[in-house]
Amino acid sequence: MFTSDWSLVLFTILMQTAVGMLVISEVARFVAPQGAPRKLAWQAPVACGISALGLLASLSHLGTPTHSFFTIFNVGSSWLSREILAVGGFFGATLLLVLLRRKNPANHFWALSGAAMFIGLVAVFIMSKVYMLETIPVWDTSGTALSFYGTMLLAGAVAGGLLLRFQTVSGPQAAKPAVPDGKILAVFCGAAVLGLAFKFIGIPLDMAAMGIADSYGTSGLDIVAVSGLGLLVLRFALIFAGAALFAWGLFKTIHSMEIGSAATIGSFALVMAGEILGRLMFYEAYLRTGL
Amino acid sequence: MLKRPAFYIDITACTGCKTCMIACIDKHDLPKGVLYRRVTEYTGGGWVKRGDGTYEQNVFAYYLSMSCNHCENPICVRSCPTTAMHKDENGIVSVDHDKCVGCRYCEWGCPYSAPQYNAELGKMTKCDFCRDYLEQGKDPACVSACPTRALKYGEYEELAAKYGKAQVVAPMPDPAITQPNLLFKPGRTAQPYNSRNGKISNPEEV
Repeated sequence: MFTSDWSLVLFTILMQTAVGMLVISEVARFVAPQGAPRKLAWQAPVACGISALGLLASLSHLGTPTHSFFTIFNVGSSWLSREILAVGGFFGATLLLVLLRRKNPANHFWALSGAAMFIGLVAVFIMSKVYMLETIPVWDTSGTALSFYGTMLLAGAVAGGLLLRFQTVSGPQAAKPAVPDGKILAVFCGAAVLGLAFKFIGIPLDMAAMGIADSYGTSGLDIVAVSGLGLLVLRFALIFAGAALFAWGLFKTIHSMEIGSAATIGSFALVMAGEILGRLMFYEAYLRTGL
Repeated sequence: MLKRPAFYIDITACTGCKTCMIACIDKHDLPKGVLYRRVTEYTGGGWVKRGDGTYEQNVFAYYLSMSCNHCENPICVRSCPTTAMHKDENGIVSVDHDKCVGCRYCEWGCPYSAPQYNAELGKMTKCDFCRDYLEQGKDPACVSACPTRALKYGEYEELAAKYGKAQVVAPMPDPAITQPNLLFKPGRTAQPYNSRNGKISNPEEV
């Protein structure tokens, strides 16, 4: 099990992480404009790079990638066409924001920042709708959208937090690391907690949908039972431990005025391991009505 | 050529011999694992306790020969991002290989497993109702191969007038999703479409 769909696992997690990083860092920039531009300067460029990697990963899913251009032809009725347009739009808007800020660092470009965030949030919604097909009851639940937005917030927060730690330590003024102020850390911590909440609210919705059996007499719960109930528990244990470690690391930062390496790296590793495991299980649970 | 091509299956006559499936593979020279037509075996039942304390069995088994149903509202066409999957003026749903990107999204959604991925081509393939045979005035390969004449084809309205309006049996999905051009003569033990009494018992074949 868990050998197929790696390209889609990478694509969805990378795109949602990128959107989360941008949204969280832009909100942090907005609530703490003093000094934030320098402390958060790497967030948008890295988010842009991660979304580019996500787009590249999606190409490896295609049987004939040279026909990729045609994939935006059915925007009128295909959620997949809409997804490709939306994630492409997010990448484009973020790239433009990065380039403009590079030319004029003093300007926040709030309008473009807001547009990039909006496109990103819409893109995550559309990504959910791609899977919420009426013939696939296991996925056709609001738990799918909650899970995707949860990944966006949680993975975006820990990835952004990791970047924040390395930027402050090894940035231009490395001699005396600039610890982000409490408002920035509060935004990152709040996003991680909200992401974790989305994940846990989605559990009962997912379980209810997975109880429906297909024409082969198999349900998503059967697949989980066969694949290993322990993996499901491990998935939630990993993301909970990652989020808890992240929150503890930020608390410690505020307390000691020093960003810890172990907590930020550890939380990133735990959350990403949980997210990858969860997404692999999501694809593995594919069951369709009919025959 | 037909305008709304449809298949008709007499479940009471189908023996599950799979000649239709083999004829389709042969006609289209399909690679291993690619099946434009599949014959599913739906089985169920067990022992039921009667009022007098004795038991009787209610086991059932029947076959469903299934290809693309060239639906009126095909989910594959709706969801295809490239418009490669399309329904033409003859009502046949087919794939334009000059556009298909091989994303397999149509395969995810179709509740009849009609779109089949051909790994050698890197593209989707499917039943085209033997369009070339129809143009030559011949029957589709599956229909002409059926030894019990359980499988028929024709204009939907003509078939419906002759055999009655579409009936749906398990394990068919809700026909409202795609409006398939498929008519049945259900057998004595046919289960309603949303029944959970049975299951497909030959998954390795289909």
